Amino acid sequence: MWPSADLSPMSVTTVCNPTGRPRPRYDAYLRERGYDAANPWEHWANSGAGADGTLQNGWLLVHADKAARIPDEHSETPYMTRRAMDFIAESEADGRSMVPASVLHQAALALYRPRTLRQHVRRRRRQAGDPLRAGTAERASGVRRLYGHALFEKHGARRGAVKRSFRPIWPDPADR
Amino acid sequence: MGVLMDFLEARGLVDTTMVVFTSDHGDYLGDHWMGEKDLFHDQSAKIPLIVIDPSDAADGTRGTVCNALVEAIDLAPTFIDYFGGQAPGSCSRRTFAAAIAARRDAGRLAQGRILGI
Repeated sequence: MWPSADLSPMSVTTVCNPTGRPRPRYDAYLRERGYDAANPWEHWANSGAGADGTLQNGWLLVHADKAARIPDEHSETPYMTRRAMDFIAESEADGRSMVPASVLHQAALALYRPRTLRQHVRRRRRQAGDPLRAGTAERASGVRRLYGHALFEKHGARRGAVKRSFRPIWPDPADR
Repeated sequence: MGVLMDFLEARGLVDTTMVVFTSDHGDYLGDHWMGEKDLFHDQSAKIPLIVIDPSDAADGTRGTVCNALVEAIDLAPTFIDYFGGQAPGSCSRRTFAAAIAARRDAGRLAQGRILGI
């Protein structure tokens, strides 16, 4: 089992993830502020809302550009920044900072912008005269020129093969 | 970042803290007609690696750019070495300092830019 020593900040309503490990402390932080859900991070910090209040889950590409449903100060990056500062202060207080190389690794989430990416891809293809949409011979040479690497070797110049190979993996309802 | 750096400064930790700003990967963003990060083009592998070394020894190279090839796996031994420790055997044996001095890193997979180390 996952060590339970650090469970004190978690509420009794903690929902375990499929691995059996406890949910991150950030979920308890959100619950304490009234943002309750089975997965508060996903439900509040990683989802937007439509004009009618409909949940717009941020895992879906079409909602990637939506604002989170919580105020900025409660969103993930500011929270983690404060946790980092807490860690530094705690390290100083309990003497950990006297140990050489007290290391803090803080990861800030850089949101993927898949919709922007798609627009960018389409724009680039328009500008360059999309070889995937040119005639067969032209297309083959164009694809070879553009994909002169493992992808081309692997998939050949079949229309759509290369294109499929680099399509983002996220489900996009607009693509169905 | 600004909040965190102000915090370090207010506690007098800036002069004894090595700050490293980097990323786990880049993104094609449409270049080479791809998204994501699957292959080793610069768009995927050439990530920012900014090292703020507080020691006086770094003054001579402060603000400079180094194009030596280094890998994220070298970060841990670099930190341990910098602070006078002994990296465990499970660590990569190559620190950035060695990588920069040797300039013989063709073939290393990740490419980074080092500032001021």
